[in-house]
Amino acid sequence: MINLLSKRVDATKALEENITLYIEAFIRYYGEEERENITNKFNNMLAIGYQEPKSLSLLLSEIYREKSFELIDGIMSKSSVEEEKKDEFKKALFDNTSFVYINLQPIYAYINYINGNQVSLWDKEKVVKLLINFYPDVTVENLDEKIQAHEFKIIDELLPCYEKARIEFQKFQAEFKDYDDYVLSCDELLRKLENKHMVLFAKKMVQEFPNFGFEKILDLLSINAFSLYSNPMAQNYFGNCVVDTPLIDAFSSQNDQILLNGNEWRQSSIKNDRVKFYKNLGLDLGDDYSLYEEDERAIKLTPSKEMVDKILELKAQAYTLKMNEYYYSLPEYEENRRRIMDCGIVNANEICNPNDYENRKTYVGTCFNNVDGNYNLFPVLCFYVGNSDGMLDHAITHELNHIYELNLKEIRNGMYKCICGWDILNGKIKTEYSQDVVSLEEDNEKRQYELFNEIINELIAQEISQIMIDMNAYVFTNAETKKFKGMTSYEHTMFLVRDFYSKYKSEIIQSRKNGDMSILFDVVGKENFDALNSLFHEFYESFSGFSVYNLYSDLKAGVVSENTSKYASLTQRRDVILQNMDEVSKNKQNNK
Amino acid sequence: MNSIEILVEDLGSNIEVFIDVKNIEMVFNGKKKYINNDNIDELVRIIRTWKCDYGFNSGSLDAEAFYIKVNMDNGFELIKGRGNYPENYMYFKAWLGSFYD
Repeated sequence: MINLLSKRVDATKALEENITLYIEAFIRYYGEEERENITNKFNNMLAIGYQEPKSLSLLLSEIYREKSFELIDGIMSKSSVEEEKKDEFKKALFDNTSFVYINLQPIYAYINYINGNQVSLWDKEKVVKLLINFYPDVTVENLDEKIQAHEFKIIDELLPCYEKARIEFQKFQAEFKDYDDYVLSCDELLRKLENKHMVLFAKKMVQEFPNFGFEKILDLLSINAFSLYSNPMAQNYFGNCVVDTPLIDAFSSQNDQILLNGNEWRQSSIKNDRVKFYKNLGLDLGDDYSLYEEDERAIKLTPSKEMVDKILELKAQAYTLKMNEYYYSLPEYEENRRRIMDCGIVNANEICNPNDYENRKTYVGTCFNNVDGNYNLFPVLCFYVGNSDGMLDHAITHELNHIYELNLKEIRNGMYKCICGWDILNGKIKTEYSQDVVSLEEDNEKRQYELFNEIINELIAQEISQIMIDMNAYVFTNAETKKFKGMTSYEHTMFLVRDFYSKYKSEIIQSRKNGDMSILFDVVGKENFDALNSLFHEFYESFSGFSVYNLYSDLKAGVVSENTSKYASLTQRRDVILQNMDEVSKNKQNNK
Repeated sequence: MNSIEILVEDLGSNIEVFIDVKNIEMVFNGKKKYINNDNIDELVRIIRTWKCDYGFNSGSLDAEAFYIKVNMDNGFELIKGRGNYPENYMYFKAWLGSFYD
């Protein structure tokens, strides 16, 4: 497990070193005749694994925990305590604590005490608390005497192993020192940027609202960031930090509407915040909001809508500016930029940017390099490494299949046209690079068949992932941890496409190889294809989120409900579409 | 309000949260986490203006989906979306992010 986790520390390198596993799996799927094509495509792309420092920090913690538990098990294997009591003993000695927090391990407190390093009564009590589980007659008063008499044999016998383990852990942790230092420096960077952008926000507030005395907040921020906590003006207008919502938000037009006709929990929250706002300004009429509604003093203190809107706008801006600057400043970002330049990629401005980090995207960027004046397709596989939960190998397979299906159709006047499966990608080859502030919102513009393309790509990827399992080929996962089915929202709509996929698989694969959808339309009919496409949208409009689990629950129980009726309607229409497809297919056969 | 359930689906990297509002307790991806009234107030402040259904954005099958179920004495309210997000969604993500170890 430690080796697996460690690969994610430098995931790009791990993928590059193991790309041949993917190449072989794809060849097994598509056929030996595709070897040259697959090898060429997968060797002429750039892979970039990325993660935010926080995600790396979590990963390192996990690695240290795994190593700690491995060492602790080694220590416990030397214990003479009866087997049935070992778990209890282990818990008492180590309290499930990693060697990173060695001071919190009870056994460490014991060692420090017997070495004369801890002298307070509290330390002594900690030691007694540990020992009393196995030596019930030990007390604070007789502890020293019993130590002198070497009475605590079951613990003393483990001390040499413990010391060895402690040193081994230190050596192990030292191997990751560069990454630990990287995380610490990024934390420091984030703290500085938080302060910088709160100050910038405060300065804009002073400019925008010169009569409110907001200079006081600037003074507080010059002391430290935590000085805003509990400050009434800060609570009302600034929030504690860049992402904190100030109480003035309660007076927005949206919240006004909710007070008129919203749910109880929403109204209650708005009222509570408004009461706090008034109290912060010195008007305390109690906790009942209705007492403030008609009060002249409260009315005078109520902020204007213009002020509310402006403050919320400035806050949102502060967040965007802060996170843009953070992501652009990450050493990992710089390193990825360098790698992109080293490949001669000319249009990389839209990939591996702050928007990716913010939304943790995994995707293929349609990129080009320029060789002797000619643009060549050089896709970039950007994959998010953090928190992968066993899906990473499969996620990479999914993206590699996009790369396999990606073909350049033409470049003209700096504009490209590519085909990826059924998806047509048009764009300008933008060669200018800048670190402009980018929106952190997801780009939701989608192309005509992009949805359907993704589902089929996922089905193909699942089959290739199975091949990799049969080959015993793993990169970031292993036989125990690898997941590739039932983990994504794609699964919810597989029932719409599975029969279509299995019946027309050959035409589907052929049509995707070079993006010639006429191969498929000739066999199934474009109208039928489009009709099937539209069922996905209907499904998600009805069954997104928890409601899909209600559907599954109703189906399992065999109840008839609104959910099952909708589901039945979808399956009926799917079946009609498939029948129509069969008709078209038969007619084509007959006309041959 | 009795409890809040949160599910964020993101291609295998799911976040599941249960907040017992009355007892001020939280379970985050299976682990118990410290939470206080201010944290809960902040979450409610962020989501109170969200409409119930941001819908499914055409073609965003692979986009992150969020579901927030607010349980009350007299029923529940479900807020959800995939591919379409409220304006202050990043504050919600930052709020969730603050509970990672």
